[in-house]
Amino acid sequence: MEVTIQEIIMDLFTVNNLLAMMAGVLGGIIIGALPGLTANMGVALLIPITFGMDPVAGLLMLMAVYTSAIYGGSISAILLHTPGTSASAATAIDGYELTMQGKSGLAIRIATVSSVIGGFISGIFLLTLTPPLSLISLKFGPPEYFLVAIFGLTTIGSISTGSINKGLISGALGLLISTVGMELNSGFPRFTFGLVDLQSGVSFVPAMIGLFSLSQVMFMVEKTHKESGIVTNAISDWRYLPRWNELKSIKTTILRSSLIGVLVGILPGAGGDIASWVSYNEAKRFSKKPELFGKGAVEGVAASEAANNAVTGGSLIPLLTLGIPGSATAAVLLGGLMIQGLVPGRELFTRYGEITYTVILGFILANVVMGVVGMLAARFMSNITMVSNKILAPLVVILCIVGSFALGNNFFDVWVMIIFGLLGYIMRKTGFHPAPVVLGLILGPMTEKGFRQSLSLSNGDLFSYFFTRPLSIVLIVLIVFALAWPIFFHKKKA
Amino acid sequence: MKRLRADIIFTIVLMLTAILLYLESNKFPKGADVFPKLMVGVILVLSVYEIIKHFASNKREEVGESGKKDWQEKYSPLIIFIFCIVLALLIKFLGFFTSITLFMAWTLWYLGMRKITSYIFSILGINLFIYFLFVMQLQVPLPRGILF
Repeated sequence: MEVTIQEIIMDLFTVNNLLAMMAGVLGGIIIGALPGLTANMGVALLIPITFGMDPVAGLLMLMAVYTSAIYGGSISAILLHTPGTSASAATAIDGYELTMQGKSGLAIRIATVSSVIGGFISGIFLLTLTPPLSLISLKFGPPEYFLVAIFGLTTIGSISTGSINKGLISGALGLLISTVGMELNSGFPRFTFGLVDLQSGVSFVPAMIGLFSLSQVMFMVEKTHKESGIVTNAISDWRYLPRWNELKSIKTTILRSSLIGVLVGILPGAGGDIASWVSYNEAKRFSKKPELFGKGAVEGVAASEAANNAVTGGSLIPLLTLGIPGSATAAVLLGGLMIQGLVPGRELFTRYGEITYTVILGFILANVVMGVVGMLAARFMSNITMVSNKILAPLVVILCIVGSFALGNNFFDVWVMIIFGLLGYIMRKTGFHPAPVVLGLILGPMTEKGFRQSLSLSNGDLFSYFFTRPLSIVLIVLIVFALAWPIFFHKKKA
Repeated sequence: MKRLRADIIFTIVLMLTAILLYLESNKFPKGADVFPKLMVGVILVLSVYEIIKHFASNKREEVGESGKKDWQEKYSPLIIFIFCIVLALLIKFLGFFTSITLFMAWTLWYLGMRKITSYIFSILGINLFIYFLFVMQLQVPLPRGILF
């Protein structure tokens, strides 16, 4: 179906969609600014709310939360020296130094402009790269669908956890959990242990809320007893817009970091934290005054913030085209797409083109809106960063419960969420990241279908079958590369 | 004193669970058991590798005085988890809104919040937020109990 630009613009600029975007931007900045709350957690908690919404409005809200939470993380990084999200850790170094020098307003202005430009550029890449890349998915048969899922799990598993083996174990665990429920061919209930509620499988949204949100609350409460009143730093040199001379010195840094961010985002599994550290180091290497880094260099803030926001659009490129998330939050977003009945691949750009292009254009607009809201609200956000975790922890628990229940009006989902909350906490405590479990759960049915169809098409000789298909060979090479790269990378670092 | 690292204990528990699931998958009809068995196999092989790696490196957790956490830091996550279970059970009997009000109050108290205004604003705020968003807007039939 041909979609015209006029139709997309008409779709985007409806009151509902703009309100959803605004709510997502504001909610995302608040979630990001609050140390303890993460972008993953925010997106996971919002998915049940978006379920009842129009797909465009729902997805716009989720994407706006994603990009704005990454930006929001810079506010607490600058004012409190506590990154709101891990992606803002590099921002805290120079951002907080600037605050100590009485230049917190300058740091926030630079962070805002850099985040907007980084996010905007990544949105342009998303808009231009995804339609041609999605053509690849047309050439996919059962073996490729199986291999692409394995590739996604391998990369997100190995890069997000820092331990290839633990990442792979988590991914396999997710795939194993996805087999719970009625088997489609035989109608046999697998691993249900007599529970009728499990016959339709483990719902991935409550599982996701448990793994990311409830487990995060359990982490938050570890330190709450020792928490004394949080004192934030006032913004003394406040201005709504940056001066031209402030921007002139960092324009190259922003552009370079945005490109790094997009590239890192496209790499499955490598999230905003990796991009911001790489860009920070590159900015230092190219700087005329590298000695200022760590002592309040505006280039340091610009590099980190442009890169981590550029990751957001970049990570959506492999997600929308192949179903491989570029970051842990993108893995959660995949859940948001799936509950709307949207499956990544070519169909997103043909049959559902109107929805997809509207959401992508909305994502670009959301980055601009984020800048406007950020500059208007940053002064007040400094007060929000003072909200105690003692209050946030029970509030998030209640939102986890209501969110899990709301999706299917089924109380069993609340128990699923609670069990996965404990699993997520134990996994994170022991160095196993929950993102591969979520991805395994979501991609599990497609992976099993691809595997079983390949098995039957190959007449039992799976190995020869895979190696006679060019696309399969490419995917196998990518899987091997994804497995070998971290080993090579760690050795080089050592 | 040295002890096994928590990740190895988790890996062993995972292996045992995987073995139990393998035995369970023997009851599945032909074809339906292939993928679960494959995943169980992958988990077992990778877990064995993780354990061998651990013992080969001989890195065990040292439990020194400095490494000891206070009981609140150690047990608060578990206590909050139990609170969640109690909340889920209470919802069935008392209804959603009464239960979350009680939950907020006792959790705030447990976490050391003593400001009465924090209780009022957070309890009122979350009740109103959920009522307007989930009940009014999204039409979610939240569980009712003996009260309302």
